[in-house]
Amino acid sequence: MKSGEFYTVSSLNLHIKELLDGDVSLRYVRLKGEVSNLKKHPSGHFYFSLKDEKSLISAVMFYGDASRVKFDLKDGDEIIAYGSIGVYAQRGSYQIYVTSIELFGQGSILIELEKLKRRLYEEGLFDESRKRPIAVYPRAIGIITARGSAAIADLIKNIQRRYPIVQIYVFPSLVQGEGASKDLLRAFDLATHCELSTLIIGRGGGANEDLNAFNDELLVRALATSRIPIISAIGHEIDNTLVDLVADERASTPTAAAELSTPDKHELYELLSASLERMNTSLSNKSQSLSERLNSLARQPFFADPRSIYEAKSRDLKEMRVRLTNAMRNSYLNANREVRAYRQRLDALSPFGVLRRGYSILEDGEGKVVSSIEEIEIGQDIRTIVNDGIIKSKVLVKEKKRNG
Amino acid sequence: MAKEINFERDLARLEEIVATIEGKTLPLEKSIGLYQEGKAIIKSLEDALKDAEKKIAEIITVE
Repeated sequence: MKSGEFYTVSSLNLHIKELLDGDVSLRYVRLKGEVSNLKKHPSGHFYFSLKDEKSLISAVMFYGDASRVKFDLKDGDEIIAYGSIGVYAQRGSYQIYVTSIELFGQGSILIELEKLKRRLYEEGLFDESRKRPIAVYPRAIGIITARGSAAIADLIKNIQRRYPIVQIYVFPSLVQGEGASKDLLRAFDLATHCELSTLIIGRGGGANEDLNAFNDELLVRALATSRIPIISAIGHEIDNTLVDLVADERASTPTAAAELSTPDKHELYELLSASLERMNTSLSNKSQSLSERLNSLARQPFFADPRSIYEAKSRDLKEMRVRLTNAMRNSYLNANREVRAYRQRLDALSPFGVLRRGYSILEDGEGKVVSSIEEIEIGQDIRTIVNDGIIKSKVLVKEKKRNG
Repeated sequence: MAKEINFERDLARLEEIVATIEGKTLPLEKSIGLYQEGKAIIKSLEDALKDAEKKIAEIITVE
């Protein structure tokens, strides 16, 4: 600036404004500070300052952005403010124009928790392969939870209703507020010194959503090394805490935790009576089938009637005898038939055979066979021999065959 | 409880007994022996549950 020249106030402020507006790094600022001098203007704008131990900056949040703040902003709050730096030229002041804010504590815890969760996840603490099976027939169940809560009473009642023979150990602990995670660790340490089949970690109800103790890294790491399978029963929203993630099973209600940790008495009674039924059936089938085999053997005819042992043979013998007789008779009859046949053929050749067929023999008075009319005279006595006798007669006429 | 009850072990033994008896090959005399053992297990487990029902399990508070 040359000698004798000067800025007006307006031109200097404008120059400063242009410098600041030109700096990109001031356009998107994330600023941590404590709220002071907060004024909530009737128009809906917030005017306040953000400060730390040494320094202070003015801040303004206009109605549109301010109306989106979810919590009740007040002096003393540690916040993270998001916004840009600008100059208010009329007043010659610069300030942060805030567009959104979050409570520092909460935001930071959520971010840290997310980081811790990712780290433990990458270490494999939440792997399915690490999950141990919950005992089906537990001898003793440990419960870590708030003393005297309704949830624990409910849990114990349900466990006893389902499986009354189980021993229940209660390890009371703080579950929220200062020192809760240390107390949970102490209770867990006590539990590991008891002979437990299953360990249930519960919050014990309460409206307060302070789950910080169940996100404690030391506690989560301790639970991951537990010999005893763990059921988490922290809240209705499963997998809400790191303890949920590291537990072997998660239950959303005390009743669900009881069901996960015990068998049902009535099902056991049924199982036992079904076993008895099966043994009875099987044994009675076995003895029945044995007695059937015995009966069928005992019914063998030779036990009832010893004669049956030789009766068959004697029947065979009889049959053989019949066959022998028949054979003998047949061979006799055959022989007989042959003889008769020969005789018939012989008969056919004999003159007497001819007589049977209706021919006759003529003899003269002296028994000489007449074969020509020349051999007899008219009036001579003749005899005609037929099959069954002799006819005596006298010759009346003789006629010679003309061409004979 | 006077007797040492181990549900897991006793039920496993019971299941083994039932399966063996149901098998076709086991002689009757052996089946009867196993049957008696099985019945004794059933009785002891049922008794254990019933006793406990009457007497509701102990609750120990460890501070």
